[in-house]
Amino acid sequence: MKNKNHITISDELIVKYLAGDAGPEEAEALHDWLSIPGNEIYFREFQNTWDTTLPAEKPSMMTTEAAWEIFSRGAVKQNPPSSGFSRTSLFKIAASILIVLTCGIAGYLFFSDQPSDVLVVVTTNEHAKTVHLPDSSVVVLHRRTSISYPENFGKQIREVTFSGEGYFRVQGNPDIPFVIHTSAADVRVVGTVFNVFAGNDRLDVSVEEGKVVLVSKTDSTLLQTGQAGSTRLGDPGIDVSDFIDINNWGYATNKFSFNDAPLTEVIRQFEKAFPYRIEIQNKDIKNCKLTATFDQVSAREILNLIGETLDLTVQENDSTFRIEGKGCPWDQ
Amino acid sequence: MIVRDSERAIMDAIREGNTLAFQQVFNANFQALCQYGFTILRDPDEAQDIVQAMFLKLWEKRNELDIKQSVRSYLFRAVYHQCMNHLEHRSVKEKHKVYHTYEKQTETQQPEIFPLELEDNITAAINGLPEQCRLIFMMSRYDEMRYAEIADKLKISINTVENQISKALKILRLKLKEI
Repeated sequence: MKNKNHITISDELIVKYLAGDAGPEEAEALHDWLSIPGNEIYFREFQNTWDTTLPAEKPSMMTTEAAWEIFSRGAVKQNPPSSGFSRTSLFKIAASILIVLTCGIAGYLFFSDQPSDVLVVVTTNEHAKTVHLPDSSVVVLHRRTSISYPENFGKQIREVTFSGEGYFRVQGNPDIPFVIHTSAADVRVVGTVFNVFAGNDRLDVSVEEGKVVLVSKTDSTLLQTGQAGSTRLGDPGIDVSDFIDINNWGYATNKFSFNDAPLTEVIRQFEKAFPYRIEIQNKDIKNCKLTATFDQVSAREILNLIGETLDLTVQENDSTFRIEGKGCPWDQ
Repeated sequence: MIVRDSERAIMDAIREGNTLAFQQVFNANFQALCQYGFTILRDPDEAQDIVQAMFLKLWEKRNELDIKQSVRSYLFRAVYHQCMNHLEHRSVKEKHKVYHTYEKQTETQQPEIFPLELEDNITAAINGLPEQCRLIFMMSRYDEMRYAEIADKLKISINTVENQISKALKILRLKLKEI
């Protein structure tokens, strides 16, 4: 549970934060940690208890969107329009600039003549990225994934266009449904946690929590917690299964659970979640099976733990891990 | 998990006056900063005002700022310092008030005042904590003392304060779940 500043998120730190004693680095580390979906639930338990001991104090925070409104108004008041931050110039700027954020993530603006048609696009290349939408929903984009949404997202509509794979945590709002458009079909949600894989002609949705409606051109179905739905372009129906594999979105949650899983499957999931390659020196290693749960552990620690469990050695070289050892020959 | 490769690109875009890049930073950090400010100030409105002011400063000074780490780290530090300033102002004001209950209470190390609106089961749960644990928890929660002040007052280490308050909250979490 360490972050870039090597601050461990312990129970003591969580409480220290609630008590208002966390320094800026600690607070930042804690919020980074909180953006991994499962952690928030853990944090909330502490927070609820803390709040219970002084109920009158409960904070009521405004939405980010309302705050932005106030902010942009305030910025106008204190800034003459010529210096750039009025509502009108905001759209002009938006429509005249093409930002390219390099190093694996690109943000573009597309535009037509209507200001509300300004689109924000976030694309990932080789690294996952967390995107915070204006309505406080959060999406973790996996590698080679793209999401776009209108600049005024959240006011009357919540619609995104999406391709690739992403782990969504959608803020509840029954008045404005959240819609994900993909090339194969649409996903409609109210407020929930789920993973979406959107290929060119295929859409897979796994629901970790809450309810999701999958809508293709010819069919639609409700998916509930623990269900997965899948459809292909051109197929008339939608396949529903009662099995979801949380490892599929380990890239977003950093949680993995294996039950007597072949090591090849373990490796496949790790290579999906982490930017590493894993090589196996001996084919008998592939026969090994693993039962384990990992929560917020780094790839290096996980592989070392596996190595210890299965009596294998793990060597690290740049972005490749090499697993060596006797493995699990069939005759044993 | 959070990728920061794009940090410099975002800061460059903000320097050039790109409001959408700025809004991304605003969206990504506003709630977290408000929550953080609230933990220090215990007042949501003051926390929000400070966070808004920090964003305004970031926007206005975008050309002069030399941000070595990420924008996010910069904002967390700015909010922290601003909140601490605010607290100092507050305590200066407090000193001008005629009477402060906590001074009297802590001399005997018995901060026994619960807020009036607290339900009996909660006060009972807190009173059931081990003595040192209860004392430290109440000093933090109800006297709004900082960890360092508590450590100083009780002549114990800050580490002990951290451990005891965390212990108190874990015990309370279990107890209040039963109710």
